[in-house]
Amino acid sequence: MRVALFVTCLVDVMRPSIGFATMRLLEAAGCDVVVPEDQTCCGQPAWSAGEADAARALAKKNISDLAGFEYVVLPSASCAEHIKNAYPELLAGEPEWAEKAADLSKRTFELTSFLVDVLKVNEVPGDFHGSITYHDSCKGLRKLGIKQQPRQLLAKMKGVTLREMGESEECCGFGGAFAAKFGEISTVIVDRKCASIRESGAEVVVGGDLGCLLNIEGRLRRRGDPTRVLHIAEVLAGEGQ
Amino acid sequence: MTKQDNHAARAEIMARVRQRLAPVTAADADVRKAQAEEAIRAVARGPQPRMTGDLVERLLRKLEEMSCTTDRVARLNEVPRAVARYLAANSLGLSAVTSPPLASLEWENAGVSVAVRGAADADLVGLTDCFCAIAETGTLMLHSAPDLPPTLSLLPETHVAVVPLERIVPTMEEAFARFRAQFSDMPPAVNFISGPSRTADIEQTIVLGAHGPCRVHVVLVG
Amino acid sequence: MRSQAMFFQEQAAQKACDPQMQKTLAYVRPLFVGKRKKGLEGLAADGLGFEEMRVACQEIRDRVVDNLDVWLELFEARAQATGAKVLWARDGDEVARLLVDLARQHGVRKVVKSKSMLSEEADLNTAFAAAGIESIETDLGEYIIQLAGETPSHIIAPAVHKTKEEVADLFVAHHGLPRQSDITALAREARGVLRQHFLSADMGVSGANFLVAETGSAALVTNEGNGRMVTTLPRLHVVIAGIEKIIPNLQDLATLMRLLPRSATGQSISNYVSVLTARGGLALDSPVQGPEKIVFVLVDNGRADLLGGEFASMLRCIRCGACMNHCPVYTAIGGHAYGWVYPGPMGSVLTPLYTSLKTAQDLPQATTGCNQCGAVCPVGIPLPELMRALRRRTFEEGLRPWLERLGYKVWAWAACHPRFYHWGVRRAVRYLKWLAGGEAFIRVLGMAPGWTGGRDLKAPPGRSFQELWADRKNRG
Repeated sequence: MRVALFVTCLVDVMRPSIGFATMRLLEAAGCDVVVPEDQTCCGQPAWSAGEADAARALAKKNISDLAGFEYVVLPSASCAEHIKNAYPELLAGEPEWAEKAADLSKRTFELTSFLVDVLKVNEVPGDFHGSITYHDSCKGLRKLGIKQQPRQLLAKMKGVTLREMGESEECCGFGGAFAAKFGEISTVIVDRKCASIRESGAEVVVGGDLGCLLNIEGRLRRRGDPTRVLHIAEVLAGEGQ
Repeated sequence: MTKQDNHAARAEIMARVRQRLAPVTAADADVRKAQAEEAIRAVARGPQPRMTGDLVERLLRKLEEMSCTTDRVARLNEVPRAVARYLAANSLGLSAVTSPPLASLEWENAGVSVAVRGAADADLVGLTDCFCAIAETGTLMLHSAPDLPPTLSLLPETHVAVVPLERIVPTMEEAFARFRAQFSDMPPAVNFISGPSRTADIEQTIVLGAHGPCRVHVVLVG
Repeated sequence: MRSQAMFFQEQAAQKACDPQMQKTLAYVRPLFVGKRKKGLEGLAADGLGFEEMRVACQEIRDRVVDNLDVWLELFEARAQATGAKVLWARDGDEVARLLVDLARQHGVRKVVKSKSMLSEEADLNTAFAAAGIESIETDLGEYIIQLAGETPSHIIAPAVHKTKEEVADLFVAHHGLPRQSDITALAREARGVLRQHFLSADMGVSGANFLVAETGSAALVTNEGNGRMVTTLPRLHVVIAGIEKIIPNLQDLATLMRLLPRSATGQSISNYVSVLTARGGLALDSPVQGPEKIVFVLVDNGRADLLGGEFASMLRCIRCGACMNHCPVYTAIGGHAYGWVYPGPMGSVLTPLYTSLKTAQDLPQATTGCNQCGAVCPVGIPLPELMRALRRRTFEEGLRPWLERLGYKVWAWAACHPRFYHWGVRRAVRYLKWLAGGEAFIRVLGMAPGWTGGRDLKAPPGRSFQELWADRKNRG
């Protein structure tokens, strides 16, 4: 099974280890993983900012780059959601492209959803010992229905104790450019998340989107809270210990 | 404001509405109007609650959830004594205002003095029957009429309502269906009342007795 | 009401750093969320799912919004057939003018109002005051903010930002009665004062939760009973309602009532639901209690322009407030920062559309895109998508700062040219690593001061994934 790994621009720049962890998970599940060299960004920042032309250009670029792969997998629900939902919307006016967008949409998956819903994996390669609390990122939860998948995978790891935080479905306040544009508001929101994490008593907070994780980790550190922050791929691949 | 002015406002708004809708409406206005009238006539109901168990018990439970107090007597002529007991037990005095449907009961024998009129500011207790009571939500449906002044259930601090069992209906839809069967025109007011008036406008703390009654007491009959 | 939405950024930042505001919001947020949740559990106990009800409610609203021309005519005809008068207002000023004229025609000295957000759009109290007519807000929350000379900070809990101490201060100043300290006593005091206004008013002004086409009636949903007072006691009742408020029939009202109160306050039903109709065939001297006359004022004020376009779904809104109650942004800053009548996600859509996109452009920017609003909306309004559509319009109309627009153009061009992009990324990751100066976190980031104002930034390892992957492949 030939799978394209789209690492996302944020992972490419800020945390390459997530990309390698994702690769390890996919290979362990028997996938033939390809990293398309020309990948850059899914285009979500432009779409979100209202720059539809730029978002459309990137959608077309990625549709072309990612043609011919059985599946496209991303270690981010937010970016996967953009490809799945926004590409068809952006290209609705161009029938030829719309069809391709719909096709790519069907082939694109967020990592944990791919492992559980498509590959139906029974085991994960990594090992992890400690207590974890899971932050549900908004797009994955409310747009892609990703809630049980990461928990099911963590449940396969013997050393993991899951300690659910209160309000795990609440937004962390990241929102892409939002956290930079409206820093004060974002800080109030992420403070609530930090409090929920602390109250859970878990040693590590885990999530599926690096944006949320950077926001949460940045605020935890500023508050002087040493709780570790890991991407679900890192934990499952055993790179979190 | 002259009449002309408002004609102009109406014409302008309607023109704007039609212009905006023109590209997205398939049929012409006459056809759509006929469809709209059909939608009004069709008394199609939305998703209905699947209530299990006895409607009377459900009503009592829901009334209490709505902060009403409840009582039950076997026959209508027992109502005055039951009301007297309630008023005495809560030190609410023994006088009330009411309307013709309940006026003929033997209040005097029960020691309650009733006046038959609309309520005034100083009246402490309003006594009413109701058109029906809705078990789904614990709601009383009252309508205004020449002999049913709406102030009875509004101005006094205590509202006592009498509900014969045959007036219990499961839902608001059923209440409207009964209403239509009985009346051809809408009265000035149909009021659905669910417990005493309340406010949570100061620090989201619920206080009973905002502007309307502080207490709603329901006496089931049957 | 004049929009102050252009000051959103400053106002929001100030509210986010205001300890009293934060305390209030932290207190009410779990109440808002918890009450709705409990309300929906009650619905589920009767075998009704939120989705099923939402679809039904959305259909009712769409049926009218999609054919508003014919529904307006139908409502008007049926309301007139009951003896009501129907007037039309193009904008808020016209609403205010019509109501002042009506008050004058009927010799009105005192007006009592039940809560109407539309009357805030029209700045009605100011108009009455200018005409020498006393107008009194009677919803306790609205009354409190009227005394304070403020505007509502929430569409169903207008004074949610006020503490009981502030309310006590206001009451002492305006009522001249001994200071009350507990909430029950304060509510009691307001009851006494407002009761006299209800009894002495000549005209009642209310909004309408719905206009029922079938019967030509207004449906009014309240808890305090002030709505009933306002529509029962004065001799003249004026209903001001947006043109989109029509529903076909009374069955639809029953359906909507299963979600409206639950979405708003978690109640299975509000204390009072009143269906108010003009006196029809009844003679004026008929002994039935109620106003002698009902006047409906149907208001456009920007609504018609939404029809048939990408924002038409916003006209489904039934003003429950669930979107703001569940919004991380609203619950971080409260309602005033939004600068106009409607706060929260629905306000972030309506304010730019009803006032001006140019001055209110920050509102649809101030969203995390979390879709908590869309998920709870009882009529399925895709609020995040509507906010994004407004951002697109902002961009297309060239309203964003030129540097921001240029930035996106350059970035998008680069992202479409991978070799150039990857070259840039290699530079950027090295710069960020250098900026961290050997530490694990960057504490101050000049290009994103908003970010590092409140949080650190984990330093990247200095080489991009693509570089590391290329190395690995080359090593084979």
